[in-house]
Formats: sequence, C-alpha cells, structure tokens
Amino acid sequence: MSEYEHVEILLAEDNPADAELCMRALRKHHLINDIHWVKDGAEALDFIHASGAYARRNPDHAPKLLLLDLKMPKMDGLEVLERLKADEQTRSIPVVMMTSSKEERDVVESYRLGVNSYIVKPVDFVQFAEVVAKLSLYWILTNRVPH
Amino acid sequence: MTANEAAAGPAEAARGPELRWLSHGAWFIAGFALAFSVLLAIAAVSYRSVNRYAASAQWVDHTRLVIGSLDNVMYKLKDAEIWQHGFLVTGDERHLVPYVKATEVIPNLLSSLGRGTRDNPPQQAAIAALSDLIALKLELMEGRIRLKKSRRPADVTLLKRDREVTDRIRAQVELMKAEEHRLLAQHSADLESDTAATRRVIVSGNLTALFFLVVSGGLLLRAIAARKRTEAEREQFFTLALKLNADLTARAAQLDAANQELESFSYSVSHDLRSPLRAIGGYALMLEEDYRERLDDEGRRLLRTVRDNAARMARLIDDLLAFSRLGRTAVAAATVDMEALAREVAAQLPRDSVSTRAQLRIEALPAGYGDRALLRQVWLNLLGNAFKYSGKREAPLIEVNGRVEGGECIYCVKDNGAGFDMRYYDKLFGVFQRLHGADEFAGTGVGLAIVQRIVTRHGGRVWAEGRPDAGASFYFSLPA
Repeated sequence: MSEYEHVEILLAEDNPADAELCMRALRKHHLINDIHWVKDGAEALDFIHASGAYARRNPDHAPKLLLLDLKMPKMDGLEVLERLKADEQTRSIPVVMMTSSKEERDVVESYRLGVNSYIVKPVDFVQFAEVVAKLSLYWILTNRVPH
Repeated sequence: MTANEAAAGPAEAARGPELRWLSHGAWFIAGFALAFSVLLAIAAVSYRSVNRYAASAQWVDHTRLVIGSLDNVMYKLKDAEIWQHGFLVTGDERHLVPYVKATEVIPNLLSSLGRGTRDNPPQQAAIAALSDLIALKLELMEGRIRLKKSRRPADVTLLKRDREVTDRIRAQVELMKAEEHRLLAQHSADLESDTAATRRVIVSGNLTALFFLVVSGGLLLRAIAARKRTEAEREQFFTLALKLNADLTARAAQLDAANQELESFSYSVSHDLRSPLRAIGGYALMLEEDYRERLDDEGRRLLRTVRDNAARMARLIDDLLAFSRLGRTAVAAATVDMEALAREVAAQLPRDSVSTRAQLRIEALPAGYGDRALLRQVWLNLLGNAFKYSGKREAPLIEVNGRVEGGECIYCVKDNGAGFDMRYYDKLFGVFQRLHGADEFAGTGVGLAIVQRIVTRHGGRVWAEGRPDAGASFYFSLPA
C-alpha cells in the first residue's frame, strides 16, 4: 500500500496560519483526510512526481486538486504551474492559484501558463473559509478529470 | 512697432513715453530724410550755380567775340583807309586791290556782329547805327577814290566829312565796347553774388545735413543699443525660462518617482498587512468556535471585539488601497449617461443597506463627460451614504437632481437623514474623518474623500450642505 493514496487535495502554502485556516475550512466539509500540505514549490513537485521525499508515493494517483500559493520560497507558484502544465503527465491536474496578489500581471501570467482558476484570498477569514470550501467542493465533487 | 514695444519690456516702459517715441524708427528715418532732402537742395543749387558759371563763361567769350569783332571792323576799316590814302597819294592802282579786299570783308564782320548781339536790342540798334556810319564812310572813301581816278582835284569837304564819320565811327565803337564791358561787368557781379549765395547754401546746407545725420545717427545708435539691451534681456528671460522649465521637469519627474514609490509602498504595505490580519481574525474565530463551552459571555465578547476590529482594519486597508490607487489610474473620458448610471448603481446597492421604506427619486440628469467606472464609484458612495444616513427615518427620502449652470453640470444627492453640523464642514471630505460615531453609522470615513478625489481629477468640485438631524445635500460638478 503506498502512502498518500487518499490524497485528493495538495495544498502548497508557505504561511502556516493561512494553511491552518485553509485546512480547517476544508475539515468542516469532511475533506480533511484528503489534504496534504507542502510548504514550498519544490516539495509540491516532488510530491506530484513521486520523487525526493515522496519517492514511495504512487505517481499514478494524481491529486484531484492543487491549491497553489503564488509567493513561496525556493520555487514560486508560477514556476510550479509552468512545469506542471508543460508535462503531459501532469497537465490535466486542476490548479487553483490562491494568493493575496491582485496584480494584473500575475493573473495574466498565470492564465498564460494554463492555470485553471485564480482566487484572491479574502482578508476576512469567514469569507476565506467559504471560498476555499466552495471551490474545493466544486473541483473535487463536481469537476471531472480524466483517469 | 507694437511687437517691438512689447519686446522692449518693462525697462523701456519705465523710462517714459517721450523717450520711447524717440527710440522709434520713425524719428531717425525722418532725420535721414531731412538730411537727404537738404543734400538734394544743395545739389540743385550747385547744379544751377555750375550752369550759371557755364553761362557766364559764355558771356565772357561773347563779350570777347563782340569786342574782337568790333576791333576787327576798325582794323579792316583802318586797313582800307591806309590803302585808300596810299592810292590818293601815289595814284598807284595797285593799292586798290588790298583796299577792295579789306572793304569786302567788312559787311560780313558786321553781319556776324549783328548775330552775336542778337539777344541785345540796344546793341543791335547800335550795330545798325554803326553799319550806317560805316556804309557812309565807305561811300565817302569811294567818292575820294573816284575823284582821284578821274584826276579831278581832291574835295576838301569830302575829306572833312570822312574824318567826321571816322570819328563818329570810333565813338560808336567805343560806345559799343563800353556797353559790352558793362554787360560783362554786370554778369560778373551777378555771378559773384550768385557764387557767394551758393557757397552759403552749400556750407549751411551741408552743416544742416550733417547735423541731421549726426542726430539720426545718434538716435539710430541709441535704438540699436536699446534693441541690444532688449535682446540681452530677452536672452536672459529665455535662459531663465528654460532653466525654470528644466527645474520643473526635474521636479515633475521627482514627483512622479515619489508617487510611484508611494504607490508601491502603500500597495505592498496593505498587501503584507492582509495575511496577519486574516490570521488574527481567523484564529480569534477558531478560538471562539472550538472553545465556546469553556468561555463565558465576557470571553466571547472579548473575542468578538478582536474579530470586529480585525474586520474593521481589513476594510480600512481596502479603502486606503482604493483611495491611493485613484491617484494613478488613468481617466478614460467619454460621454456618460448620468441618469442611467445613477439608477443602475441604486439598483445594485446591497439589499441590507437599503431600507425597504426608502424612497428614491431620480430626475433627469445632464450627461457627464468622464470615466464611467470612476463616476460609478462617486454615485455608489453618495447614494450609499444617502441611504445609510437616512435609514433610521420613518420615511427615508433620497432625491437626485441635476442642472447645467455656468459651463458646469451640477448634480445633487439629497437625503432627509441625520445630516451634519456645518461647523465641521472642513472634515467632511477628509480621509478617515467621520462626523458620526461608529455605533451610529458604520463606515470608515473614506467614501467622501474618494468622491472628492475622483471629481477633482475630472476638473470638478464637491460641496455639501446640511443641518443636524435635518438631512444633507451633496453636490458635485463636472465641466460641461
């Protein structure tokens, strides 16, 4: 049995407070078991490609949703996005950019690289929780991905 | 000339109108013209004088000619007389040949004399008289010769008459010579006085001309100097203007740079403030939710206060960001249907902020010219305020009207709500300034500041009237 088999949502977020709020919101909708949290872009890629620390993961079990923060150390969200969308194997994984940045150029660049959705994190926690929950439910339950 | 005047500047003007006149081109042109005409006059006078000289030279010749001719006549006559005498004494007919030769010439001489004095009637008459006398003389000489030829004795009376006539001829000739000399003397005297006059004219004329030239030259030099001064002054002004312009451009660039810095500063500040703020509010909520049973009412109240303040701070950050962003957004100008826009905004106001009892009346509004998105924000803030502050009334009434006046489109949003005290009018449009407590009416106090900033950027004005508890009217204008 490989680890992380049930991981359906990968959260790449460097801010622990935001990560905790995110996961709490998802917990309310009983999605908590399906989340894995990584702290930077390199780790996110390792996870998806089942390399490095995650060598023992089964790469065929791709997560159903990647919640990606824009500003992360080592490798930021745009770079991760670019690599994932460039690779045949990982292109179809839905990526939702979740960030504080409203900068037009970030939005433009993200869509150019093929992001599926772009969310600006609301300052208000309640709203933030709502947004996270709603979008996760959509991408996990409503949206279909190829097997 | 007016350009010159204008360019001459305040320095010239200060010296007084008379001098300004002097430095006008008209004066030294007049001076030159006068000098020129004086010189022309001198030339005319000199020319006339020269002509007179020529004429008088001719007179001298003429006189000499006449006198010479007269002498010639006398000489020939004398000649004839000598040969006649020779014949009378010797009887030799050979003497008659030169005698005839001499007498033949005399008529020609006389006629040429006549021609030479043509313009002088007295002299003509004298010549006629002389001719008569000479004719008589010749007759007498012929007579004596004939007598001799016919060997008759000499006639004493003839001799006497011959001598008489000769004397009379001589006298006549002297008379005529004297007359010619008199004429010559007269002409010489005339010429003398003429010459003197001409000399005077030349000297004084030249002096006058010189004077005019000097004065004109002086004026010209002064005008040139003045012009040089003006040019120098203008150069200075231009240099100064260029320098000021350069300074201004540099300042503007500095200002732009400073603005940019401020923009990115305020952006990143509010950006970076959001995360911790979210954490504060979020964790307070988590605490409240997870430890609800273990907290008493007071504990829950405290946490709620933490969350409320975090939320308020979030709104402040958003408002501040929006306000600062107004400074740099480009204004896309177009004609905007203000009435439609106002209705649209009113319809889109959040349900919970609009009392169901509220009545809204929007009258016909003049079209505005400006950025639709920004003007929408203006309506949003003004209408939102109007509804908010009249929300507690029994019958909230909001009226919107507009008019065109004095080159401006003036719009008014009037409500019958809480109003405000005109004593605090200065604070009305200030950032984060509020005239009502947060417990009375929610709000961060930046709405009106945003309205003012937007309207000012469009080249308009904002103002308001109000009385405590008696409603308020907010006006804004846009250039027509």
